[in-house]
Amino acid sequence: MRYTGSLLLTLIVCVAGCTPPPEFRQNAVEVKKLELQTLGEEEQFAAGQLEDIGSFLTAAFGTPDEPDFPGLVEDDPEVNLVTQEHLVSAAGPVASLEDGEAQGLYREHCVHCHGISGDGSGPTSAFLNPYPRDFRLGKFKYKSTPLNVPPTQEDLRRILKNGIPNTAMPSFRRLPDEEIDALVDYVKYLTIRGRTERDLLSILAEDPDPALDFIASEEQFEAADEAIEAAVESGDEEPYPPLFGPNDVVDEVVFPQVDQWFEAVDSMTEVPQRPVELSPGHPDRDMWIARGKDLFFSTGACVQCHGKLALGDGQVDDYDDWTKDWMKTLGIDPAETERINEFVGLGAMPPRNLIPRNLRLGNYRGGSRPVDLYLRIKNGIEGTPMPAAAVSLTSDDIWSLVEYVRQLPNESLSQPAVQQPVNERAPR
Amino acid sequence: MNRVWSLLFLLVPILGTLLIVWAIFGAWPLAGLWLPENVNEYGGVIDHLFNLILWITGVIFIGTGAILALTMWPAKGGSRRAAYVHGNHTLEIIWAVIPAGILVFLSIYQLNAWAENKMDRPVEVVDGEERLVPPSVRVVARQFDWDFFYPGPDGKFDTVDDFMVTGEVHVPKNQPVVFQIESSDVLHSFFVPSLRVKQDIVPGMKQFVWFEANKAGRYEIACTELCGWGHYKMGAVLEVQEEEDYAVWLQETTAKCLAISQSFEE
Ligand SMILES: [Cu+2]
Repeated sequence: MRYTGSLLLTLIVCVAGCTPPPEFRQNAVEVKKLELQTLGEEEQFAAGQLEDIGSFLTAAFGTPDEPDFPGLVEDDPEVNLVTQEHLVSAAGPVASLEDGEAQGLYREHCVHCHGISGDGSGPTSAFLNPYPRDFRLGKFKYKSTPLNVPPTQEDLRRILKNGIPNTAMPSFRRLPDEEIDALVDYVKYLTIRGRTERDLLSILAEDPDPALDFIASEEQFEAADEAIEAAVESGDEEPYPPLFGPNDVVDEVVFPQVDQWFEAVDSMTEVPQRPVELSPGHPDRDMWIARGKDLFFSTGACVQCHGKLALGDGQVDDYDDWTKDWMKTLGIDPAETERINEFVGLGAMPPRNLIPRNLRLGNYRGGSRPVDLYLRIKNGIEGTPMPAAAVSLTSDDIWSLVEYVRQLPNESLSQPAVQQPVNERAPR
Repeated sequence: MNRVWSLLFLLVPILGTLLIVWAIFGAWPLAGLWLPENVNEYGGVIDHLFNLILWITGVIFIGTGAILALTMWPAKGGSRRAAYVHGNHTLEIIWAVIPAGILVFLSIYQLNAWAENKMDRPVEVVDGEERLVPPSVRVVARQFDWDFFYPGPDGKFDTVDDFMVTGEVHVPKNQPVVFQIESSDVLHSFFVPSLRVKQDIVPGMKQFVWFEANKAGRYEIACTELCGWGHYKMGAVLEVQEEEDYAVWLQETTAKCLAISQSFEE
């Protein structure tokens, strides 16, 4: 009896301490996809080459408990895309330091949906519609930059603070700014790590010769150098040099992405002033909105997906890029359950149609500021079938569309049947 | 042995009372477990009812505990054999009638509190005419967050200048405030412990809660109806501000939420 307490404590410490530290998962879907594309059925990439990629990722980006980022300059945090301090407070197990500073923020707030590797398949992901974002494609929907440009720091902050209405992404407004910034950095970290893995796999797929040393370590690199020299001297056939030396991947695959993230802020889409005619209360407003309506059905082509009544029923059988990335690329039909299940087993989410937004709900995922709607129409939504606006649409055209869409939820058609007020009565 | 059992049972009311008193004083490690300070002008009546019921149940709890311990205490020289009793009509009537009487008393006694908090919405006089204070914020609960809709500069809902803030709502101090509460998916419950306001939210129904906060500060909003896996994190902040601060906040937030140009600040 006397020892029950201490026994229990030992047990708890042991159970907690004996759990193996979490590891980043290999992007098995991407591996399988590329194998099918370049090698054919039953064939696989050489295990050693995949290991090369894994070892490089661990060396460059660390582990979920001890993250690292290539090329961080300690004395000058200004030049770093992410700071070591932010990564440390976002990564690792949930804890708080003696001074109250929080640790393990990602695992406290994000991991159950977005997953330890940022692949969007955490334990709760299966219950969500839409699915949580898989960061590894490097695509972000709601941002102030054009397609194929990363979001700005402010874009990610805004999403964390406001959440994404009508999805399971909650707002983290109550977190201190420092913690939000730490999480933003961790999202960038997971994104760049995930994309580096994908890029390396694509490079491997271009020339999947198993004899090739894919990424050489310092020693392997020197040994290969010596072997080549020796071969030249003795006149033997020269062996292949390794494809990447120890630092090449960082220079050629990681840094270009870092540069893109840094430069994103310079590519922010310019939003010209909204014409005064469209400000609420202006006598010409209705005329301009009618023009927006015209465009909705004509040049804007909005009607094709969002439907004649803007209920989001123009088409309902398309998919987002995260699904298309493997399903469409490999030409798998959603009805081929066996093949679909194979990929689901590897970590892909079961394909689900991406339904266009019902514009009568007045609920905008990327933010409900007029400028947010302008950006959505102007730039499209990355990763979805929503395209950027046709070049022929002027900024006045887009503003007319924005204001037409913004007033849709207030039309009588959009209002629900009269609700029964429960405790409303006349004053006594 | 009977004495040990008797004393053990006596410990229940003693420890129970101790725990409650401890929690009320908020001493370690029970700090912050009792209800927070009431900051709602209309909340006093809820506190009063709560305390009254706590006293009634407290007295009964201690009394029954004491009687239980007493009956177990062995009588001097008494036989240790238990006697079989086939009911006692007088006792049964007493312990049925007394609680029933208390319940009837409470249900009549609380009528005003119910009316004040659930039926008689505050009124205001506009242009010499009395009218109900209109809702200043529309609260929409969703899995798993709170969206707060403001009517915007024109003061009317369902117009193009409405705007929404997620996770945080501001109200002015010392003013009757009415929230219109709706759900966009499943059952939720809107609870602000510091205001003593709690209202279940039923999809398809439109309900109103009102309060008058008398102390500036940030207060917790929680969902108190299990609504899904994310229920535990479905919270928000209610910030009560001095009137001037509130006006500034409202102006800034309106400008931010109706922004028609990109800016770097959030
Ligand atoms: Cu809820």
